[in-house]
Amino acid sequence: MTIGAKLPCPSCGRLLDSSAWIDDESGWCQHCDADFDFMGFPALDAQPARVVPKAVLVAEHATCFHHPENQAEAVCETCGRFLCAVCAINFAGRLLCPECIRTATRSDINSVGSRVLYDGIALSLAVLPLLVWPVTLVTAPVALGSVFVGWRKPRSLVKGGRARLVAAGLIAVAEIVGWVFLFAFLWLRKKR
Amino acid sequence: MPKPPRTYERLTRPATSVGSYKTLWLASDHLLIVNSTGYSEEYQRLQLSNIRGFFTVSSDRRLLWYIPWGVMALFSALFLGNALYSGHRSVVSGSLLAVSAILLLWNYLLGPSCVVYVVTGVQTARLPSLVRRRKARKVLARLQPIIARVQAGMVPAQEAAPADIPRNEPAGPPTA
Repeated sequence: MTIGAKLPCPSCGRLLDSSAWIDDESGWCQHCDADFDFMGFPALDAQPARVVPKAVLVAEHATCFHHPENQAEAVCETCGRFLCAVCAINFAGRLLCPECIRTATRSDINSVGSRVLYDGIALSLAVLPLLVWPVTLVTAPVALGSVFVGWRKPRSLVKGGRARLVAAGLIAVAEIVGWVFLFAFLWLRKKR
Repeated sequence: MPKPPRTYERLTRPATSVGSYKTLWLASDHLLIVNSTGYSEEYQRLQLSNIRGFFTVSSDRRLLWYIPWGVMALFSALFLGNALYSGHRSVVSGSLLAVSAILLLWNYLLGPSCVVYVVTGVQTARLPSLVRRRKARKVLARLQPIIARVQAGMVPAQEAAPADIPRNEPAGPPTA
């Protein structure tokens, strides 16, 4: 058994000792009585990545911008600062310094934590009030406004299309046109 | 704003929970767990190179779903039986019985339920959209060669040569 006591039980969180493993792919936790299957990967046994910067040995060595005692080993691809092995970070395929990563994470799609779905908001505002249709007098313009606001905003990372925004816009326009016709009809009838 | 490139491939259909639904997506170098309310989305990324393994643990989900559909089927069958015994037709009870029977059958056909956890160096996180064993097996079988390929160059700890470690004493981690 090679996995041994490296992993915690997924159910109770206590470390699984080697007797918990039936084989490399299954086991049983003695603490919480949970049976489990396991699929392991090379990272389980891999040597942890160890970043060791080189110390400056002669005065002519270029030094890290942040650590004058360390040799420069890379150049930041954004700001051009000299960096030691500790400060040079591979971020989305580019070698950057911590400051540039901080700036990059604000716009990079690989670090976006959440998104507002304007298409979902607009579609709900356009469709759900139809159940209580007089409410659409207020919600239809709001839905149309959401479509305009959401049109240029960043969309979902996984469903990037504008189909729902278009649908919400069309429904909202139809509702507004309906109200215009209704008011025109009532006004004309009153005039007669 | 330009249309973002399609970088994600769907691995699971939405699994609903209270007020939100969760899906699992695959990119070239990471898994993305999306927790969506319909009005906003939250993203959690798991780099393929950091994944140490997947735990699959049996759960009572299938059994729990039998309860509401079973109760609904039982009551609608009772009402339908009572109506038929009295010589009446009961379209509502009949429809409810049919719907609950379909849901019971659907729950059965989806197969045994499970919970899948992904283990990384620093966490054991649940994959909330993998709740049935059959689907979990399918998704994990698909991920297995991809993750193995990403981690192909990793050296096991016991094989790492001590000579790889530099001898001179450098400065510590950044303080700035």
